[in-house]
Amino acid sequence: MKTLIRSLLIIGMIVSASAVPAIAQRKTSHIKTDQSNAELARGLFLNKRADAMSILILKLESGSLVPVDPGHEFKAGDQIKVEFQSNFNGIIYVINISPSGKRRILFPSNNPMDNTVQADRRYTLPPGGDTIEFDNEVGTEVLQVIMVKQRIPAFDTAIKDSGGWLAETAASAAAELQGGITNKDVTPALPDEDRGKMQSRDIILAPGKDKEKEGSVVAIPDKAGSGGRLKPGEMAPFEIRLKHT
Amino acid sequence: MRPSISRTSSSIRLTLFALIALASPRNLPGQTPKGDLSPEVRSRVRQAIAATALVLVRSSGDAGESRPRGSAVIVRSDGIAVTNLHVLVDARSGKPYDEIVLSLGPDESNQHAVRYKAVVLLIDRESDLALLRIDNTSGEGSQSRKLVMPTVEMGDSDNIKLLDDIFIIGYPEKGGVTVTVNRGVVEGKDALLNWIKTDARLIHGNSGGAAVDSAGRLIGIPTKVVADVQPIDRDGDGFPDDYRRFGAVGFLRPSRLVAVMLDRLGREQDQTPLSVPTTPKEIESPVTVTVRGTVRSSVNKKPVAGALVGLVIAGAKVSESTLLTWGSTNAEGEFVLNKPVPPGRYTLKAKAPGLKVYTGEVEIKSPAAPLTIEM
Repeated sequence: MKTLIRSLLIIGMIVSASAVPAIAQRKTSHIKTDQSNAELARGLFLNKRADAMSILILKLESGSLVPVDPGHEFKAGDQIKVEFQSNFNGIIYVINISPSGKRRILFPSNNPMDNTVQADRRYTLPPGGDTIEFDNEVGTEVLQVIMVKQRIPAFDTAIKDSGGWLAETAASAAAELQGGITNKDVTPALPDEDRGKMQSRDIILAPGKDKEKEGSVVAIPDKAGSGGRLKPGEMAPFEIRLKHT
Repeated sequence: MRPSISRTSSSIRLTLFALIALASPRNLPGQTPKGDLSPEVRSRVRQAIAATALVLVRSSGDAGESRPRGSAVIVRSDGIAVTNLHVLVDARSGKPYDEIVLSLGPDESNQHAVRYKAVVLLIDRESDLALLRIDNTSGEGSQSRKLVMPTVEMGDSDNIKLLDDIFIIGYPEKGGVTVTVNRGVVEGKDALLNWIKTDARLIHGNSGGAAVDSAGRLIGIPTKVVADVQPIDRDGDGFPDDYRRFGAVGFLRPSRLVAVMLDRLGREQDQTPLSVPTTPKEIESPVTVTVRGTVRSSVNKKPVAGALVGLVIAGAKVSESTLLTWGSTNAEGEFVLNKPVPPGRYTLKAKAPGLKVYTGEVEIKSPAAPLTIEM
């Protein structure tokens, strides 16, 4: 039976990507959304020479899930799922950022709290027959996907203690501000483009297109000896922005 | 499940919140911390004494002369003084007194005290503070002139530290009508609720007076006492036969709040010449303001979504007890912190996945301007 996740208000859609390279990496912050980098991202995803993920937004239409373009504008009642696949073994957190800025971890849940992902395996969010449904709140809803190689304690605590809501108490907010996984020597590049398009922070990416089954691909660039691989203590976040009109 | 705090019935304590006007002495003689004071400190504190006045009040229906009600301290040489609002209001009727007189003693004997009429200019009900204007006109007609009043130097209540020396100057009822000074330390600071806590003796009549540091600068206004009283059931019948007092904490309103009121008064004076109002203006409480703003990339100025932003007590490390208010940014990088905070200096923290932690000092004013954080 389908369960609707009404707490997630999704709006319009932009797939943005942001990743953080190795600690030793020199500061570079150029957005790479040109054709050559798009091809490179897809190539790295396939040949596994760098950690990479593909993300696909699926919309429920007439009982079937069909890929939709990142620029799609969603209406109240629309239902979606997020499909992703990594080319590496790691850990994934997915956080919803509401239009008012409230954050809730959608993946993993507390039962079971398993968000280890295996290479080449396709995952859907929410799992099973659940979908994410847009309610009547308009604005931009963000799905923040964080790739890591080790668990983030502040997030795990929020999943256990507060249903995934982040910074719900002073203790949890302080724990999050205190540290955990941090990234050094990184100057992020935020999106140059308007909502509805692919965006990135110091990561190479390939924007997804309507009906393109591969979806959008994000990959960690191989720079300054990073090898394009996430190391313990590093994270690679990227965002899926969904526009609800 | 979240842990909860429970209290057993056997340890029920009655915590009495009382205005100083209702409080009884809480420190026995000799409890006030003693120690050597340098001549310089003594001199500075004595200068503040000259600016601290006895407040006498009278309602129009009262028989006889005005009577002592509390204390006030002059903060501007043109005769602007601050006191507690509750000093100026009749607790029984809830109405303000019709006549307010400030008595300044030229010396500690108070034998040659000079009395000035005063009117209320500005009140802040939430923080229990009021600004008074003393009628300091001397002479009549063309011969009239304004007297320059003694003032206390304004201090920085945000910068005081625990265990700093503190001197309470006022006119406690038990001390008669002469100015009375005692000494204590800063026991605690509650930045969110705008209190400075002290072990210095605060009793009936100290309300609205001065709390100064060792440089004689005003850092607080004695406002209330919280006493810890426990019922004693001697015969075991379940009803208290007596109450035992375990101690009390004195609470001061930080001088920062007075500075906010003076600033407000100054701005209004810039617009119109200050005249004696028929009714005092009530300001919206400057006690707390809601902080909002935007987080942007330092590289391309684009909004950062999902950043956690928090205000911490100035200079403190982030912890559950120092984090005063927090909030997260939305897709446009906008945030609204979840709890209003009093104006003042804070350490601003922001963190977003994949970005370096932002740390900076920020001055929150009332009204608060939106913050812009680049990280």
